[in-house]
Amino acid sequence: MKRIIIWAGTIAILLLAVAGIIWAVKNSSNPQSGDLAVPVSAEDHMKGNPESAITLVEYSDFQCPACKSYYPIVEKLMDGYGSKIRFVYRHFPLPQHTNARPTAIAAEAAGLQGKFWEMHKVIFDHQDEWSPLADPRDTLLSYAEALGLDKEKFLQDFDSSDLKKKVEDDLQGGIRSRVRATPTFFLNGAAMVNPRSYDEFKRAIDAAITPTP
Amino acid sequence: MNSNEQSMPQSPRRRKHALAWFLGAGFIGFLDSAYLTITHFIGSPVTCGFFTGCDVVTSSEYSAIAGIPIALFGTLYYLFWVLLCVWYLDSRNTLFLTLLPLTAVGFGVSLILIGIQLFIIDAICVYCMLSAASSTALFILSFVIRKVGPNETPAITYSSAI
Repeated sequence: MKRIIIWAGTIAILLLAVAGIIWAVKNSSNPQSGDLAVPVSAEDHMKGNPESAITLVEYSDFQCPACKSYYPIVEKLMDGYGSKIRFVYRHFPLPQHTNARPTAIAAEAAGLQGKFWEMHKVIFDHQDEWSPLADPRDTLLSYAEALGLDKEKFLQDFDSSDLKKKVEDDLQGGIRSRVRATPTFFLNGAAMVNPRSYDEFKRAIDAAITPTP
Repeated sequence: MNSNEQSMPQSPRRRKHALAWFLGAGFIGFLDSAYLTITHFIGSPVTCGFFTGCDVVTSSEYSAIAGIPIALFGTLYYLFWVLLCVWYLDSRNTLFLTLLPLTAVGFGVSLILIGIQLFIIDAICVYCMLSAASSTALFILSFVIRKVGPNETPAITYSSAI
């Protein structure tokens, strides 16, 4: 009898614990939920169909490994849905990533010469190279040169306070949108629970394109 | 109960405490890993509170092996030790004592995962650190339990004390 009580009690405690966690996870308010506080504007870096009613906004940090792992997923999405949605990239440099801000500014400086997305790709592709550097400036300059950018103008823009402010504005907008981690995606202004795969992402986009009646 | 407890020799009492801590650490590790596993399968974000990095770590490529979340392995690992410890308390089956050195596996995996967080992902997940603390506790307690194990009193005597 005592043995039955011990084992029944143990199993009951474990099952109750699991059931409690499931209940709590399902009923907890989404900490990332919230509306996009800053509407998409001409100031944003956008690709895809600019006229589309479906907008995917990403708050991202170039030095964040999770952001790098989402990068090919978003690229693949845009390959398939480029004519149906528009994608907006915003900076959210985390304080613990010391090179996130300079790389964001470098992407903006490249953007002033019409090559934001090219620099965006190079920065993610070479994350392991510049991430550990104490000062990534020379490395970023080499990327700019490889992209055929005007070196002098790039450096001038890289040091300008305007671009620092642009990145800071993105960050503050993200904070107002209750971004807590990177990457955080907003689909049509509503925060998404980060999809864990391309297929999950695709399902969310499909649902937005074809809303249930 | 108290009279029996007070009459117990020092070594069994120490073992009893070590087993209680072992069970507690295993249960905490189980809850922690189960939470991460459940959020993975439900698709809910991990609640980090004022900590940062949970989302970075749990969405990283290192968080799963062949699509199976590492947290699930952790859940099964802690469940294994909790059930084995309860079985030992119930039956005094020495398989538990025999298998205790295997806690070194959990400890070693925890060290590797902490290394990945610190040096590759560059972010710390507080739940992963709690799991590492649990597996470290199991590892340390395994020495205490094994050390006092040979002196254990017969199961019937011990059972009457609990």
